[in-house]
Amino acid sequence: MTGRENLRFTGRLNGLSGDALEARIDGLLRRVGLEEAGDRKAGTYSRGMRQRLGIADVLIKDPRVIIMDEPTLGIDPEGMRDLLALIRRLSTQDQRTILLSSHQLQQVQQICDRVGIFVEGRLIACGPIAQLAKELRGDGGPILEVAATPNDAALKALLEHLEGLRQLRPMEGGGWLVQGEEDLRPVLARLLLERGYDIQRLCQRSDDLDEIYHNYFEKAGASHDLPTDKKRGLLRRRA
Amino acid sequence: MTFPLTRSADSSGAERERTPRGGGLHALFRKELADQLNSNRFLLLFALLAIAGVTGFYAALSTIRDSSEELDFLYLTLFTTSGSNLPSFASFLAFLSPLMGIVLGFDAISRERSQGTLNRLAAQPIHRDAIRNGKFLSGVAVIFLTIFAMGLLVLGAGILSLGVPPKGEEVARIVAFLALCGVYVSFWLAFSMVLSVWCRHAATAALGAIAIWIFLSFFFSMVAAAIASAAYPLDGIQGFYNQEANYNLELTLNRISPYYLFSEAASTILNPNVRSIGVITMSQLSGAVAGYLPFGQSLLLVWPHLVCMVALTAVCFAVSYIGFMRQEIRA
Repeated sequence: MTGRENLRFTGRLNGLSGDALEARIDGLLRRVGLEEAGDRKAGTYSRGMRQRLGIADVLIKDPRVIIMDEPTLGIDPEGMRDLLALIRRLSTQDQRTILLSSHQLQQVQQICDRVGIFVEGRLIACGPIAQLAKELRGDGGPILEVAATPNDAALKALLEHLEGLRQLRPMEGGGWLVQGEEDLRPVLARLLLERGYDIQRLCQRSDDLDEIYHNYFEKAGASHDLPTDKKRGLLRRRA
Repeated sequence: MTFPLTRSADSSGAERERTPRGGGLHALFRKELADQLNSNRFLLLFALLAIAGVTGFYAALSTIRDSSEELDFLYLTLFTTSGSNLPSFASFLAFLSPLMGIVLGFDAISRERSQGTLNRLAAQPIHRDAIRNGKFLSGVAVIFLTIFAMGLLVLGAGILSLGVPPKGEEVARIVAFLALCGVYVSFWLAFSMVLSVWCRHAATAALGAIAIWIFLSFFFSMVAAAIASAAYPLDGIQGFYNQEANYNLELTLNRISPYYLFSEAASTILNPNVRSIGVITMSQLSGAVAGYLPFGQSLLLVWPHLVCMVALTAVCFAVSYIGFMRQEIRA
């Protein structure tokens, strides 16, 4: 069946018919960007196009809540951008609620307003990303990324002896992650300039969902390799 | 671009009554019918049956042309005469048409499941049994279309080549035969749908259905004869007493097979000389007037067979229905 025929079939199963259905199908195909491809067989679609057809299929019913299970799995980067933009538009333009599950935390971070983190099947945190990050770092100031040349032992000593320092750890790609009791940026900026360092980077670390997830994962005490106890037996019904 | 169905534009409060016609059955029936008629499988089957039919028809034609005796029911003999080494059109149809039923039904449910569209269908606001009923009804529609098309084609070709128009009773008998054939193939469709619901793989269902078809068509009469001979042996003095019981038992056992039911019914309908089914003693026959059986009476003779086939189809339909409704549809 072509893409259009698929949508028509779903529309008929939902009690729509005639010109109203055709008009809606045209509108939906335009919305998901499948207008030219609408009359080709669905088997010839790429994976991204099929996902978009699936979204159009769901939209025929005009739902208030849409639940998507790993919508961006296996899609090329360009297609992924279009798909994410489409999903975001569904939420902002149509006022629909979208629940989406994904393992690709970058994408989740880009488009989601609120995030829920599941570990071992239990929801252990839920809320906007900024709030989750704040909860995790406690009452201290923001985590700062600091990189300066020359990156020598003196710099490390300088950072270690900062007043109100909470934690200090090296950053991948050179540089340091500094967190203090409060925002240490003004103090650091003055100190580094006084000592004659060239500041390469001094900024707040953006709340990385990867980090947050990893921290919650550790907090929940879950280890990566869990023994899954499946019941094994001779007579197993329905694998 | 504002999408026409934003939340604010909706009629607030009013519940949208958006149930499809017949609980989705109408839309599903249309879709399945279109799929069946467009598929290569159907074309292949139709070609197979057409070739078989044409062969049988051609053989019958040459036999009728060569025979010099006057035939009362020309078109009925067209359907039932066998040519040199070739069976007649009616027996071709009886033998090969179950294949059509099997092929249309064996992957009905497995195909949807393996393609992953089954849970998409089940998520729509349709009755769950509409999924199966749509497939079954479309299969029945395709079957009746095919059989009637072929029968009427042969009838038309007969009119063209023989030059004699058929009598009303002949046409009525032929139509009844085609309808009977349709019901018989629908039984096989229902049966292969049962297998399709219960077996995970389409191949298992197909092989099972074909195996049972071959068994019932070829071997069942042998098995029935063997059982009857074992129960009521025919040799020796005892054999004379056992003949009637033996014959009746064999007949009863044979009638378990739908193939035999259909053959019996078809030969009764297509042959007005057949006046009874089963054993008739000489005392019952004495005083009977020679002649053809009228159409109504032939139908009366065949009625139990038709009811039996419809009942078998209904039982298979019910079993696959229950099986499907109880299954879990999972992503």
